[in-house]
Amino acid sequence: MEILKIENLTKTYGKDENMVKALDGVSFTVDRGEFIAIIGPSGSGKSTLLHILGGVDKPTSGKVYMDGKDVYSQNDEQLAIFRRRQVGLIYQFYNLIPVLNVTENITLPVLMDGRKVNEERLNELINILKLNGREKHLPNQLSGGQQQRVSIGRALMNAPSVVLADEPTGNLDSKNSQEIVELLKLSNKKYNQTVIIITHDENIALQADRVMAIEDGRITQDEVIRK
Amino acid sequence: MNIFNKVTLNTLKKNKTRTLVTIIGVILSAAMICAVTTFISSFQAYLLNASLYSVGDWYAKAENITEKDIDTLKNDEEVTQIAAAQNIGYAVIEESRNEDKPYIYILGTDKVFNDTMPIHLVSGKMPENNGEIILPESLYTNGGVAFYVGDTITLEVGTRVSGDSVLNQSNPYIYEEEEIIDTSLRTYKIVGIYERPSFEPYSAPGYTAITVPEDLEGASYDIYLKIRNAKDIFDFIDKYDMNFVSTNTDVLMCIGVSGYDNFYSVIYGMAAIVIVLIMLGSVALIYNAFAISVSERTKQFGLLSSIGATKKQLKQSVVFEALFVSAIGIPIGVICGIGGIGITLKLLESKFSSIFGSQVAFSLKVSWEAVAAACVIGLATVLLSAWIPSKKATKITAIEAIRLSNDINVGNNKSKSSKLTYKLFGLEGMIAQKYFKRSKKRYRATIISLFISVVLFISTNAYCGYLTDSVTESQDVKNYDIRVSVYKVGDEPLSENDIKDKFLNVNGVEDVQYAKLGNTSFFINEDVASDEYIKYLSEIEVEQNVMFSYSKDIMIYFIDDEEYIEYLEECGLDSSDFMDKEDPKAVFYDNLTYFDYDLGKYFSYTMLKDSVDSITGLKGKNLEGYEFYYTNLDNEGNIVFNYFNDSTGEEETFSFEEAGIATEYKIGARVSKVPMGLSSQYQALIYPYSSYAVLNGEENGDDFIEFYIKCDDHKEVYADVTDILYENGIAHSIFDLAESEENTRNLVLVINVFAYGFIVLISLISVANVFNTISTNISLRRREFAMLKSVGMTSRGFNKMMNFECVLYGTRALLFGIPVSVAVTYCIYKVIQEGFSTSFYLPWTAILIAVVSVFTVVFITMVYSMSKIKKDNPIDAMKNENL
Repeated sequence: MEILKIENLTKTYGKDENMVKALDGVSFTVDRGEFIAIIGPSGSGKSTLLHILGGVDKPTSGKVYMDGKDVYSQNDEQLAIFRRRQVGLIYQFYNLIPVLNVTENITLPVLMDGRKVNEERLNELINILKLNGREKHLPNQLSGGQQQRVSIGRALMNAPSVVLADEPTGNLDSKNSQEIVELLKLSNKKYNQTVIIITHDENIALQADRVMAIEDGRITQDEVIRK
Repeated sequence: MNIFNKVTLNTLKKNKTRTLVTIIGVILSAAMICAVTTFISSFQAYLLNASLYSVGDWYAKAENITEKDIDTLKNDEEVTQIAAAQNIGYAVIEESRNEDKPYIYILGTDKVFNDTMPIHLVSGKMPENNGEIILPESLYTNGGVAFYVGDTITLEVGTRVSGDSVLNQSNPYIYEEEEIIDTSLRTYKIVGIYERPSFEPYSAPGYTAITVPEDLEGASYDIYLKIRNAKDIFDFIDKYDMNFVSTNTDVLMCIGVSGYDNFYSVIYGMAAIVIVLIMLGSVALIYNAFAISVSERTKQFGLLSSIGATKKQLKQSVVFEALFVSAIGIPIGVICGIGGIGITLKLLESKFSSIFGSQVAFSLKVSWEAVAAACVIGLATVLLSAWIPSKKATKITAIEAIRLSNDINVGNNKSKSSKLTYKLFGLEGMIAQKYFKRSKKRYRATIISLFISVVLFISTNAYCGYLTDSVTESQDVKNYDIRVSVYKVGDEPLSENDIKDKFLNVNGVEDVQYAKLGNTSFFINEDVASDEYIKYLSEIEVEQNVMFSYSKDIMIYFIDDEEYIEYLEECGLDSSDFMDKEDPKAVFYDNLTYFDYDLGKYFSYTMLKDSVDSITGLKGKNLEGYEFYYTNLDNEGNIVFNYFNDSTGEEETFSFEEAGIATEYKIGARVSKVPMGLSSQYQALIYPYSSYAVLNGEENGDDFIEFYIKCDDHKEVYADVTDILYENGIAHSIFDLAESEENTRNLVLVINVFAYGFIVLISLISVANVFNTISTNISLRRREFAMLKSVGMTSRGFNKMMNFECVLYGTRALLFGIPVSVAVTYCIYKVIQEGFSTSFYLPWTAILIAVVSVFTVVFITMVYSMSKIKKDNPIDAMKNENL
């Protein structure tokens, strides 16, 4: 079943001769439960694509449909709520709120909604993420791998349809990197979540169901490696 | 708690120093605002109390009403208080020296009247029965009638009439057309003396004496009443057909009854200006604190936004920060403000009462309105300060915030630094300058804060300086404390020397001198005028052809012989040369320093050539039916004498032959100082008193003598001298120069206290602000510093770089601040000059203090901030993403 549909997506920066095309007519669809790796050299437009899919950056033209709904026809308010509930974003530099502890950082999307935290799900996540005993720690008291696990927890907390990860292992050693990928695979399998991950690491890319390559803002390769 | 508020709170907690400094800023701001509003409420209370003290606690007055009318009014539900005074009658007092006040007027007052009307006993007690009476002080001081508590007086009391109409205190004395009828004898024991009451009109013909009401058939009353709602007083008056003659303007004004709104709009207007100034200062400064906080939190906002925070939520979180800071800062500020103004008023209490000349204390009055106003204005200030940063924070999109692309914006050529800097200050200087240029926006707040403080400090200082000059530095140095002008009418029992001796006997008097002023006009011409004088006249733009066409101010003083001889000795002159009664020679004071404030400069000159040894004075004869006015030159250059025709009131001119008297004034020596009491502002011919008759004749002589008294305790001497004057029945006026100078000094002191209080507080806000900006910016640059450290910059290098940055901020702030201050100072000078003569000068001390303070504040902040990050391990700092 189709969860994401991207139509002729274009993103440009600057004007006239200084104009840079970050994305140049990108179109593809993603089915629910797919695990996709996007690869490409620096400046190819991968991060821009991911940010647009996550509702963070706006496209210059083109459309993004999630669950059949036009993402960018929503106003700012609706878009914020979309980000809160529909997608989970994971960054290379974790981007945790330094003044909040582990639990608070993980439950942030729920708290923003003003809803009550589902303790069962929180405990389950903390167990899966192996963060037991660190619930009250602040981000700067954690290692890089632990911080990234917290940010995964935050991305999964609301059980979003799509999890987007922008080089989540870029800042980690290989052992920690593999753990993170295992976690993403787990959420993909266990909760049937769609995962899109940007990576430079060929080993990680090869663990995905589908690998897409981007160069100069165009998709140059789109290959399903396992069904 | 809402998660956003939690994030905000935790962020505030993490940046403890900055939060604390921001709160201090809010405290200062709220304290200043509260001090202003509380000062106003205290001032209002003071005005009301002073009015109640001097005019009494009532709203409307009715005259000549009957007992029945009073009962009617008492039955009116609206009326809350009636003070009634029975008109007992008038009695002639033969001894009164005041021709317009030949009576004692007796009032029988009830208890309410005694409690609410301004009856202030000087001595004794209030009357308790019909046989007791209190008399006003003015009966003695103004009427010259001596009486003592315990005396018994018998008065022939009756009704004052003119023809058929009955007269009261509102009707001034009508000479030869009024009389007292239906008189009966009453005997009273004087039980007290009270201050002249304000309910006695100035033109009233009777000194008001107070006893208790009598049992009189058909007596008439004056009543003073209050009603429930002061605002309705005018309607209330209209409701009754009674003789309501006035309302209590002073009290109604203080209560704020409409019709007198003007008065308060002036006070409120002035307060509004001060509050707006404080708000401008505070907003500029508190805004900065929020701007720093927000820009530091931009990444946080972006992050929150990327995981789904709405703009509204982010804005609310800034508002929450403002509310949190206010919740702590404003209450403390309000308390500090009340405390501060309370202490100030307490310390200045005696100064205030001397300025306002009132018996009522100017004390602290905290009103809930004032506190509420301070809270609202304070909160508005903080919210206003938070508003712009909050808009800015939510304007940038999530992605921009994450990338922080807004904060690093280096233009192409902007960060070029001069070769000179490199040569002078080395690499460190160059980096400092580059950083300064690159982050101009960030440091703008620092520079603006310093700028505001510098301008406010220097201009307040200049303002106070000029104001002090204008009220204190009179160039006319009068070296006496009390001046008594005695009117010599006909044959007085006491001679001038008798009076002088009496004054000299008063305890504490050091010196007494008396003088008389001659009255003569002098015309001088090119033959006698000095070159200096002609030059001076042309410089102050007097046309050549009219230069000598009007009479010149040359005073003629006759000072008592004893003092004159002393004065001559002081001047090193031989007294025998000047004491010839038949052929008197004057000493001539001709060394003037004159300030012309149109031109803004001083002139020093002598008027007459050194060779001149006599000048001619002119005055008009006493002409029957005319009064001499002045002399001048007519169009042909002839001296003419102008008179008022007594019967027509028209001005008429006479020739010298018809009316002139010429007197030759011989000059025996020139002096550069004047004796005690005389003005040093005019050229003066100074003679011994004994030559008055010879020189002045009896024609147009001034009929008063001035006594100048020098003493230790002017207040005591003033009282004693006044007693002597009354005891001897000497008509006089008395002026306490020392008192008036003291009042002036007190006024200056009060102005200075408030002005400097204001500037010190504003400066503190600035310091808080500068501290915040610089320390935050330095901590934001930790990574940069770590990098510099890692490539080998030494501690010395850092210090050099930071010192150079200090110099950059300081000079920038002063570069703008000092010229603006000078401009403002000049404007102040121009305004002050409208009323007082003063020359333009710059407040150099203030400028120096400003320069030193600016560098000190910047430097200390730098040292503090650097000391905090010196311990950083460069690698940790570089790695730390959260910085």
